[in-house]
Amino acid sequence: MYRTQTTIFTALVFLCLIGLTAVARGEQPTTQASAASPPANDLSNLSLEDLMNVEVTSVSKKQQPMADAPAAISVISQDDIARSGFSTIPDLLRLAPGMDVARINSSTWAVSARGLNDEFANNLLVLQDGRSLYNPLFGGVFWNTVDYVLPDLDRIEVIRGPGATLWGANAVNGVINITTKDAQDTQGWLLDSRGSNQDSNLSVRYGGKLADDTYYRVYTKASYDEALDTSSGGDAGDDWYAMRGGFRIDKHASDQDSFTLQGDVNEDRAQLPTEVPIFTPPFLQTKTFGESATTGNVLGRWTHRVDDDSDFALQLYYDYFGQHGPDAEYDQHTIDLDFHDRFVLGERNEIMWGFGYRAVNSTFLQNDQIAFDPPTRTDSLYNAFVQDTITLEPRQWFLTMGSKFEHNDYTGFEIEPSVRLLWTPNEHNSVWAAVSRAVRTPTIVESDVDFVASRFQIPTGTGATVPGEALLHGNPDIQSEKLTAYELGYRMQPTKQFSVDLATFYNNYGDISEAIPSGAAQPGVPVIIPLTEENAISGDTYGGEIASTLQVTDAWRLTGSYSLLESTFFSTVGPAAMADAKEEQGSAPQQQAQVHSYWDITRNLQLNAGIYYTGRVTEFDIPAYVTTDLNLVWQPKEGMELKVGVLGAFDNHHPEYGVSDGQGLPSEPPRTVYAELSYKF
Amino acid sequence: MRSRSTTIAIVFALLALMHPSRADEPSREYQIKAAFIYNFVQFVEWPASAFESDASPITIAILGSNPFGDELERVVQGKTVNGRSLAVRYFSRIEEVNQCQVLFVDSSDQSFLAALHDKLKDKNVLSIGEAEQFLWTGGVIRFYSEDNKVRFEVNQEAAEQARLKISSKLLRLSKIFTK
Repeated sequence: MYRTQTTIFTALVFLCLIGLTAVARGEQPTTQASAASPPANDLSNLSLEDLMNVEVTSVSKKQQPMADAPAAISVISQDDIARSGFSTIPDLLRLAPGMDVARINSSTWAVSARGLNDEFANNLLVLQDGRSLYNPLFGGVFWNTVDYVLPDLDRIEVIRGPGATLWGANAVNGVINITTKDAQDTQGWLLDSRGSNQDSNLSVRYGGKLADDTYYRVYTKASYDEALDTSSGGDAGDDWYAMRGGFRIDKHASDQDSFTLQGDVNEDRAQLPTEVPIFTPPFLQTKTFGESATTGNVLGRWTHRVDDDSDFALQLYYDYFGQHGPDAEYDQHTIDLDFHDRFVLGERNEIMWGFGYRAVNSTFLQNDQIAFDPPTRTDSLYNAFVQDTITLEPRQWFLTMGSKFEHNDYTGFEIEPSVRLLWTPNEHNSVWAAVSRAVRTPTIVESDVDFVASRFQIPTGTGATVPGEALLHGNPDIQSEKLTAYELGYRMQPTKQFSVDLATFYNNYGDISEAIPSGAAQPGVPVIIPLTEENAISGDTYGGEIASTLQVTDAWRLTGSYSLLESTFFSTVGPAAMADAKEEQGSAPQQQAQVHSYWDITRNLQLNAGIYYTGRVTEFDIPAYVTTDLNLVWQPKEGMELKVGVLGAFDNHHPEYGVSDGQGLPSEPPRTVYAELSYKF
Repeated sequence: MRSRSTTIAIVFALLALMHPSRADEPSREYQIKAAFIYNFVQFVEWPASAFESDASPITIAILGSNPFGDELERVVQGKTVNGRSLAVRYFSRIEEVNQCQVLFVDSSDQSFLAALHDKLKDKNVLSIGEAEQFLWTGGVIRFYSEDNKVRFEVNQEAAEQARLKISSKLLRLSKIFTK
C-alpha cells in the first residue's frame, strides 16, 4: 500500500513537472524574440544552396540527394562533423556505417570498408574536391597529409563497395569524396581552435569578395598531436605536428558557368618509432625517425550547366607529394586532366561520359634498407567512361549500366563495368541490386622495390653463423587485383521520422598480391633469401551494413548502424602465401556497431553522445573495444560556439591496430578531454 | 513495481522536456521560408529611392494573415544588410501598405492580388507570395514546394518594373517565370 502511494505521488510530481515545463515552453518564443542571442540551429545562417536542401519536414539535417542511388552511400554532413569530438578527417570517417577506422600511431591510420584493411589499405579511393589522394607509391592514403579547416568542409560522402565505373582503378572496396564549401559560403573571419590533453589545433580563415559573383577564402591551420600511449601507458614517442594553408576562389560567372581555383600547401613533421632489421639479436632495433611530408596542389575547374538535365565539367590539377626522412625519401609530381559530361537522350536515357589523363613522375633516393629500380619513373594513365541510366518505367524502375576503360603503364588495359538496377515501388521503399567489377592496379612498390624485409643469422654446420637477409624484389609483371562484387540493398522510410538503410554484399577477389619466398637462397655475405611480389591470394567476403535514423522528437535524433563482415582468403600458390592469406582474413573486425544521440536541449545548447563498438582484429590480436564520444555544444552568441567533451570515456587507452611486417611500433590513443571554440564574424 | 512506474514517469517527463510545445511557433516550413526571405534581402538591390533616407531600415512587411509567428522578427534581429538594419511590419489591409521593401502576402484571392500589385506598380517593392497565380498578377517571387523542399520562382519582368536588381546567384537557384 505504502509503495503504491509513493508511486502515485512520484507520478503526480512528474506530471506537475511536465505541466510546468509545458507552460514554460509555451512562453519561450516571446522571451526568445526579445532575447539578444539567436539560436544554435538558426536556419537563417544557412546559405541559399543549403536552404534548398532543407526538407520541410526534416528527418535529419543531412542532405540526402542520393537517397535513391543504387549503391551503399552515406554522407557525413557538416552538422555531423560539428557535433562530433573527432578532430581529424580519418577519425571522422568512423561516423559512416561500416567504415573500419583504426589509429595506428599519432600520425598514421588504417582505413577501409568491407575488409582488407592495412596502414596502406589500397582498395579505397579517396578524393578531395575532385583531386585523388590515393598514393601510387604504396597504394594508400597518407592520412597525416589529409586535413582542412573542419567548419569549411561541406560534406564527406562515403560509398561502400566498388565505384570503379565512375572513378576508375582502386575504387574497389569504396570511394570517399571529401568536399569543401564554396567560397561564397565561407565569407568573413573564422577562428577555430581546439585544445585537449592529446591534440590541439588553431585555424584562421578569411573569406571575401573579389568582384561581383567572385568570392575567395584563404586559410591557415596549425595542429599538434602529442605522442599516443604505449600499451603500458607510457609515452609512445610518436608526436606529430602540421602546418597547412590554402585558398579557394569561386566565380559564378553566369547562370551557366562557374569557375573554381583552389590550392593548398601542407607541411607535416612526425616522430615515428620504427623497428629496423639488424644482423645481431634480437635482429630488430627500435629507431625513432623524424619524418616530414610536404604536399601542395593547385586545381582549376570549369562547370557549365546547359540546362537542368545537362552539364559538363573540365578540371585540371597539379599535385606535389614529397616525403623526406631517414627511412623514405621521395618526390612525386602529378598532373591530372578530367572531363565529364551529362545529358539526356530521348525520354528515357541519361548519359554520362568522360575521359581523363594523368601523368605521375616519381623519384626515389635509396638507403640501407630500400631502393627502387628504376629510381625515377613517369607513368601515364588514360581513361574514358560511359554510363547510361535508363528509365525502364517512369518513377519505378531504373537501370544504370556503364564501364570505365583505362590504360596504365603496369598492366595495360583495364575494363571496369557495372550494372545497377533500382526499383522504387513507392516513395517509402526502394530496392537496388548491382554487379560490378573493379581492379586495384599495382603500386610502384610492388613493381620496382628492393626492400630488406628482415635480417638474421643463419647457423652453419660448424656452429658458426653467417648473416642473412630477406630481400623483397618488386615484380614488374605483377597483375592487377580483381574484384567482382554483387550487392543488394533496401531502403525504407515508413514515416518522415524513421528510416532504415540496408546494404549487403558478396565480394569475390582474385590475384591479391603478396610478398612470398621465391627460389633458393643466394650464397654470399649476407646470404640472401629472395622474396617476390606475386598474385598469390584469392578469396571471398560477404556481409552488410544496416543504418537507421529515428527522429524521436523535433529536438532529439538517434542514429545507429551495425556492420558484419565474413572473410575467407586462401593461397593460390601453395604454402608460400598461407600465412598472408590468414592475415588478410583477419585484417578487419568481423562486427562493428555505433549509436548516436543528438539532442537540442535548447536552441543554443546541444548534447551529443556516440558509442562505438569495434570487434577483434585477429591479424594483430587486437581485442574488441568500445569507445565513446560525449560533448556539450553551447552557442553563447551568433557565430560563436563552445564545445567541451570527452572521447574514450571507458578506458585510459586501447590498441586499435598493428603494423604489418614488423615495420613499426603501434601506439594507443588515450582518453581525450577536449574543448573547442569557434567564432565566425 | 515501484521502480518500474518511476522509470516510466521519468521517461515521460524527459520526453516532455525534449518535446517542447510549439504552440506559438511557426511550422518548420515557415521557419525555412523566413530564412529564405532573409537570404533574398541579401541578393536583391533596391534603388536609393526605395528608402526614405540612408539610415532607413529594410522593412519586411506581412500583409494579411501571418504564418510566421514571430519567426521573421527573430531572424532579422540584430542583422544588417548593406549597412541597413532590418525591420518587420504588419499590415492588415492593402490601403495600409506603405514604406516597405519586401512584402509577403499569404493570399490566393486573385482580385485581391491584382489590386495589390496595381498599388505596388510604381513602388520598389519585392513582393513575395505563394499562390499559384501570384506571379501572373505581377508578383516578383513565389514559393512553391518540390520533393518536400522549398523552392522559388522569380518573375524577372516584375522585378525590372519595380527597379529591383536580383543577383544572378539568386536567379541561378530559382525557376524563371515566363508568361
